[in-house]
Amino acid sequence: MGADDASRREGSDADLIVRSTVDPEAFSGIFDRHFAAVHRYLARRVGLSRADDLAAQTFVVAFGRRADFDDRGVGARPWLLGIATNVMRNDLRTEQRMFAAIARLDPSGGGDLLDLGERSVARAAAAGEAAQLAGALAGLDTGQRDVLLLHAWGDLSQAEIAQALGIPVGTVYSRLSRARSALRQAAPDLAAERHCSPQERSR
Amino acid sequence: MTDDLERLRRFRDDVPNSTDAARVAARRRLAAAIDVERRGRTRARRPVRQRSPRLLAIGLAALTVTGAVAYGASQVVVHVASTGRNGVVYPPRGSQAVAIGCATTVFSPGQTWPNHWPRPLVNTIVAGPIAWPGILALATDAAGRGGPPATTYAPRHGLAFAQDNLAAVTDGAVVTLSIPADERQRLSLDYTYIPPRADGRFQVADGASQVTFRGCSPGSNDAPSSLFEGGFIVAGAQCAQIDVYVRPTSRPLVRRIPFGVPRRSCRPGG
Repeated sequence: MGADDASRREGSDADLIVRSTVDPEAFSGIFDRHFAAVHRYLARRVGLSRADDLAAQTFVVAFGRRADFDDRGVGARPWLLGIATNVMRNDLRTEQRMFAAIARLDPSGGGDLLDLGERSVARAAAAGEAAQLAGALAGLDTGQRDVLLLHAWGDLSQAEIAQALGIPVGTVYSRLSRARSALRQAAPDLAAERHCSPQERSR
Repeated sequence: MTDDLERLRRFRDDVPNSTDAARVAARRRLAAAIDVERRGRTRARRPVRQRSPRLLAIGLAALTVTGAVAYGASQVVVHVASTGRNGVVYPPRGSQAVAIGCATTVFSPGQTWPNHWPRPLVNTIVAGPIAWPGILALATDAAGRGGPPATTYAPRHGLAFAQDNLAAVTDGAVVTLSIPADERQRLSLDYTYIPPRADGRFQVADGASQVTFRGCSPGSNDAPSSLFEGGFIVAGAQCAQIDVYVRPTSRPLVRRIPFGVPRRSCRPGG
């Protein structure tokens, strides 16, 4: 409630950005409102420690480009996530590595690496699903992955993704559809598989 | 059937929120950018002083020289250090020996080990305090199936394949990897932010022949090990030999990693 009141008092994102062209300090309000969401999106894509740096970069870049902000009544989040997606272009290899590494881990077997504790069946199943999802994400092309993850992790609508990435909304629909189809193919529903023994699980 | 988007939303949902330290650091960087702009505006409002023709001539000459130097610099390949996470500056491409520490780990101190990672792990090569999770999945079976095909590792236009694989180092441990001298034409280590030449590929000499990992302090992490991102630059499918030196011993632990070859061929005498 208090935060809402403060928000109303300070105005919309667009108000703050317009005001920041005269009083640059006003842009701090955008940072306060959206830093957590931007950081979380980046952390899920490239890991927590990279996200610290990239989230900071995102707001510095956004501040420098605030004159380009095009308010379409949806606030600054799509615009910021679009910048965050572009800022992490140099880290695509990091993302690729992370997903590929998760995908290569085999949850079904034994071993005693680094004494990490007990493995439960539920955890192994979850790990299997994670490995499949990671493998599917690693296999997507960059454009499809950006659209899919802005939708799933950034909670943006198709129109907002189009705004964020500066691409036609038809392209967003097409990429999203292809990405989801690739995801379903590479990571089919694991519900049935959970009843299989590890030995039965196909590799 | 579980909705695919719903499953994707759950995936990596265990990533913790940003820390106060990260927020403060980011806020500070934004404040610096705001300050630069504010100062620029102040400067722009100052009256412009009249400059003498002589000073203008000197300025023009200086600009010309600077431009020529910049043009000359753009004509040569400059090997510069690259900056990775947490502002860590890495040695330039082609450094023979590299040492990296806790600041370069994938999950920094105090941050959680990903819950969805299977524990314990299989397909893993362990050498004392260092392990490469999942790396044995890169082996093929005897018929050349199962792992990546040998062609994956074939050099293209003189550039070698980068095979990524996290290295997990027990917290507090110091361990050095070394590529034997006679293997260095076809294998190097890439655990720093080396920029690729083209198409994500490298010259083998771009990587290091020796990397020393220093794990994070014990207890600084939720997990007992420090994860280093990176991998190997591999020219051709091979059974790659890595010598692992664990202090204080001087004799290395020898490990062989199958890149696109059968696992059996990597056994001694295999």
